[in-house]
Amino acid sequence: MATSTTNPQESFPAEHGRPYAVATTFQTTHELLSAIRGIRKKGYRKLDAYTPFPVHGIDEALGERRSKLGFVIAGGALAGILTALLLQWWTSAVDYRLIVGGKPYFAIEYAVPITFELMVLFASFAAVFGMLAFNGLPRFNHPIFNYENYARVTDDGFVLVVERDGNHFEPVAIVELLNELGGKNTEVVHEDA
Amino acid sequence: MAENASHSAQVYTGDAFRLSEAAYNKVRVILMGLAAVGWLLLIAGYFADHERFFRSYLLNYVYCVTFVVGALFFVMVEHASGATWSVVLRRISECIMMVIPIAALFFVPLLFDLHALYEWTHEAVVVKDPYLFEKAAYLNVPFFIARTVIYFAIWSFLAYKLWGWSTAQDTDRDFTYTAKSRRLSAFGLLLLTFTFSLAAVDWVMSLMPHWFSTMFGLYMYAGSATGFTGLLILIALAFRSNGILDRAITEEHYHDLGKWLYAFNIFWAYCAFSQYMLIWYGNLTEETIFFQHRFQGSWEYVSKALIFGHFLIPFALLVTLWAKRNLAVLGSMAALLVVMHYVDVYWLIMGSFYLDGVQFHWLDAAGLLALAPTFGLFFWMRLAKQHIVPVGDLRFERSLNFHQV
Repeated sequence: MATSTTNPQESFPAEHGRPYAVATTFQTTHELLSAIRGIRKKGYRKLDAYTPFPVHGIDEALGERRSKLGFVIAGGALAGILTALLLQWWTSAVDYRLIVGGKPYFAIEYAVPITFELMVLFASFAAVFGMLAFNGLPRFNHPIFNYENYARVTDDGFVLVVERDGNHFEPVAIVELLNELGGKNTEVVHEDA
Repeated sequence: MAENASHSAQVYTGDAFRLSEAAYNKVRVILMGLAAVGWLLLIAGYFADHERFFRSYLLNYVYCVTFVVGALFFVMVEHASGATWSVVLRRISECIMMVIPIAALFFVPLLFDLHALYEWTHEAVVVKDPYLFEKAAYLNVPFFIARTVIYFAIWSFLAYKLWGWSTAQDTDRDFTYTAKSRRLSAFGLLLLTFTFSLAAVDWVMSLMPHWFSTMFGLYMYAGSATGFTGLLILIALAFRSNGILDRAITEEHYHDLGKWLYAFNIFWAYCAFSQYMLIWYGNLTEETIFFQHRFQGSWEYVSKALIFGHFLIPFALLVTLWAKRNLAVLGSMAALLVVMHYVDVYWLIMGSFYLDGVQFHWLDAAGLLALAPTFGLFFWMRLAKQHIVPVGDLRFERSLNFHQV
């Protein structure tokens, strides 16, 4: 397929840069969901959808797998537990032994609150930074902002995006397909404005 | 979404949300049989071992009461938060909650011999003991009975009000009942938390009248909420395997029940540890005595069983999304926590009487066999009388089609 790809540079002016995706807008969640199912049937997998509010069933429709973020957070939590236990044990039972209140140098009882707090702290860091990393953030701009109709997403538009998948990209065919599925304001979106 | 709503309207019509005569009778006969055996054994036990009878009765009574109070708590949280997901589960909870007035009657047998239970009822002891003498302003028999009456009066009032509005809504679908229930529940939750904490102090903590913990009431409250959620999951699963509400209570609802069970189990562990750590740190004789007895002899194993069975194992297993949606895993964790809640109450109550170690007695089992099916029977008889889901609640349809976001 890669060899028979139409060269996007031929059909679209070069000053817009490489095409990033084809974007289209739907009026209702129902139209959006059935369009997603329709375009997936044609074999397109690199899809994304932008909606004004969370839409039930959209993850399944898009074929999104569950995020791996949970495992990153679990790793952060475990790192927090180990750090806290090691820190408390080493400082109070090894490096600088002090008897406080007749308690043992190290005891799990007094270590639990700090361990819990560090677990939460590290897990939260893992959650925030892991989320940013998985989303490729922070970044200064995103090609989807070049879509004329994108602002509607914050109001009443349900935007479906078929992204370029490697070199295999036939914008004209996708535009036609999306229009057939009921999309409005269908456009090829380029990487540069 | 739109398709789902029309789909459910087709499936759920007419009087489908009622218990069938056959199912009702079958369970009723089983419960009556169990209760009859239990009461016979319990009455025999009264003559066989007078003191143990009262201790076993208190243990099983407190255990059963925690579930009906847990139900009232659950119903009020649902109302106060305006929850939609749990509407399909509300009538079952309400029927458990409505056992509260009957539970009040079953407190009466304890009054026949409070001396067998509470050290502070013995005047000769109190007079010689400066601590108990000071506490006598609160810990005396008339005030104890008066308080218990007040607790049950408040709980029954809340339960009757919520029940009346909920069932009235079945027929007239009047939204104002929902608004009224929400207002009452917000206030009622404060009342219930306060009164149940005091009830836990009166009925259980005063078994060790020298010992005190400000966390104790909340500790039992958290245990009750956990135990009740476990029971609710087990009831829903039992219904499911008999084709009752099997399409109404879906995996999505079990997922949320799993979260609820998980959250309250963590809260229980939080209360338990907060209580333990402060006592450990303070290291004061009058406080540490509680744990000293429970770390000695065979109680040590019960304490460890609580740490693992009531917290670590359910915590580790229920942490994943998969486990909360897997009905076999969720069901076994619910069953484990219902059992561990019993161990917890046993540890609290029997640990106050038998300081050297666990002393099993057949009366413990007899008490459970008598009281649990009796409470269950009243729940079951009420459930059969009307719709087993609040069909008049305006959120009902949305609850049927509830999906996790």
